[in-house]
Amino acid sequence: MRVVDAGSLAADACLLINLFATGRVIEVVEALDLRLVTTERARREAGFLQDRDDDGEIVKVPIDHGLLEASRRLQVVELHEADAPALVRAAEHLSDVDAHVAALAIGRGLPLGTDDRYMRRVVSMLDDGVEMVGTFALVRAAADVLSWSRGEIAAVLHSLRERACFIPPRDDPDAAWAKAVIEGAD
Amino acid sequence: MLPTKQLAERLADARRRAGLTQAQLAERVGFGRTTLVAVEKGERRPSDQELVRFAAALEVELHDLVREHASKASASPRFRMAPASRVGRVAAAEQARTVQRLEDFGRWYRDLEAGAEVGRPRGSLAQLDTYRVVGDGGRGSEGEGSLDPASEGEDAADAVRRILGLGDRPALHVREQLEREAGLAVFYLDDMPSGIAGILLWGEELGACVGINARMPRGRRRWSVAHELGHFLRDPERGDVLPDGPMARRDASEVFCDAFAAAFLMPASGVRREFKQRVRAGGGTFPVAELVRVADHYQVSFEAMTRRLQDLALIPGGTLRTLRRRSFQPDRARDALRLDGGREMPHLERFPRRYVTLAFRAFEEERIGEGDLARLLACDRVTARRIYLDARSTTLDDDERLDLDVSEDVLEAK
Repeated sequence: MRVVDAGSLAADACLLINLFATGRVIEVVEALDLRLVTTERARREAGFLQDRDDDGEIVKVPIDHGLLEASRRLQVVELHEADAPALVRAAEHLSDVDAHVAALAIGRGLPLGTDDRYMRRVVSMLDDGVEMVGTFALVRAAADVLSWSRGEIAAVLHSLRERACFIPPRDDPDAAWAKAVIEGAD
Repeated sequence: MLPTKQLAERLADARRRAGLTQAQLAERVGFGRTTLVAVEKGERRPSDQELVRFAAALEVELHDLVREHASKASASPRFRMAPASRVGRVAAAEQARTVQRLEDFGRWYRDLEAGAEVGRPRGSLAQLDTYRVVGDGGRGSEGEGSLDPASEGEDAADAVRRILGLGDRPALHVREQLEREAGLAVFYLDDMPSGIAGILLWGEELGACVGINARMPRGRRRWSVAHELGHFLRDPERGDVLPDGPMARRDASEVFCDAFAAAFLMPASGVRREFKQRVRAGGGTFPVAELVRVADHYQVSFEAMTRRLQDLALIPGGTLRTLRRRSFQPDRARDALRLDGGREMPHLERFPRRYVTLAFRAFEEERIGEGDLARLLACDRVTARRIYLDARSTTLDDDERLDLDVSEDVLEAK
């Protein structure tokens, strides 16, 4: 996967959660000049991160999509009748939440942002022309543009793990980079 | 793509479940009725746009209508015609929603099995038909020549204990045994109305699914499981909704199941022995504190234990009534005695262990996505991720985490 060009990126719930977990989602999307396009159901499903309270107990923390929406970097769209063929093909394999986002990518020609291995496999099968990008790639590209220090990158990656329990795809090409950053910062 | 005939069957089935006539659904979708009839007969395949409208009109997931691979599980049609009257404090609509929720879990369980190409184990309890009734099932009237249902319930409990090799000791940690031997999948549901303690659903493809109210105390949960097991042995096709509270009418079936639950959880010979040992240890006395302790020993409610001891004539018949009149509070006594009532269940224990294992395996093998995993585990995505990561890793002494693959098949290990 390579980082996509500036423009719209169909974002599933998985990617939205991960980006918000970085704690620097606005900086990331602005650095890459991206507009995340998603559906209402996917946005709702990207509802919570986790945190720890004063006793160290895990608590759910609602995600506030407002700032990103207000900056027009998150656009929530509805599907139209013209999207139906892509939606139905996707729904043959994916839950409706994911099928709606897949339809945005397949039907409207948008690149797809996701870390969900099953989602990536299905979309590739339905349309191998869909560009796909994951969280690590976006963070790495933004870090490059913003000239983040190794410590800053490590903090973002740590936040991904702690707040979103991020599970990177097994074959993520940037997984080695992420590991090196974290280990180098320890 | 799903064959047109199968799609037609799913659409017709979904319409019936939604309680809609063909005319009503046709109007919602923007069809003429004759067109809908043709669709349901498989003579006309809906367009993609029409399929999306069908899903919206039926308030079902489009995925459930069009996916190719799905098990045939569905609850017994007779049970789907849920009683129109209230169950205790719970309105019929709430009941129906709860039944649907349990049916969803049962169906997902079957789908996981189908995806992994495994069948549900069918052990000896599933073949125990000695206590099955036919016809009316004893609901409302005693059948001719029928045995006393309370005695039958006790007999059935003894038989089940023998099959499970429990002897007369407390029946603890039997959930997996029940699933192996009876194919009974027990789900503890957080969102069950407070007026419902348990539900049994049974269908040819679904198998036996039990839903228990996770918010009840441990003793009540265990009683409910045992009660539904009684129904499974006696009349599974009818299903059951067990109210949390006294029932207005107790027919033969309910008498059987209550007697079964009492004897299964608190077997007579074991209880008598336990009682005598404690009286001996107490110098010939049996204080209320011991009553609380022995209830904890059997992991049943204080009320259930007291009734059992009364029924076995080990304590005076009016003991429970007397204690209630004195406003005795078992929960406070339990706390004072530092006994764990076990109210909070860890999230993963709400599901059959095999169900969880199959879900993790499906996720590992990329047969389901992260959103599916969250749905199967009835939680949000981040919680599902955490549960999955916790299940496949452990923390070593130096706080380093070691990744395991707990779904790895040892038999196929290289």
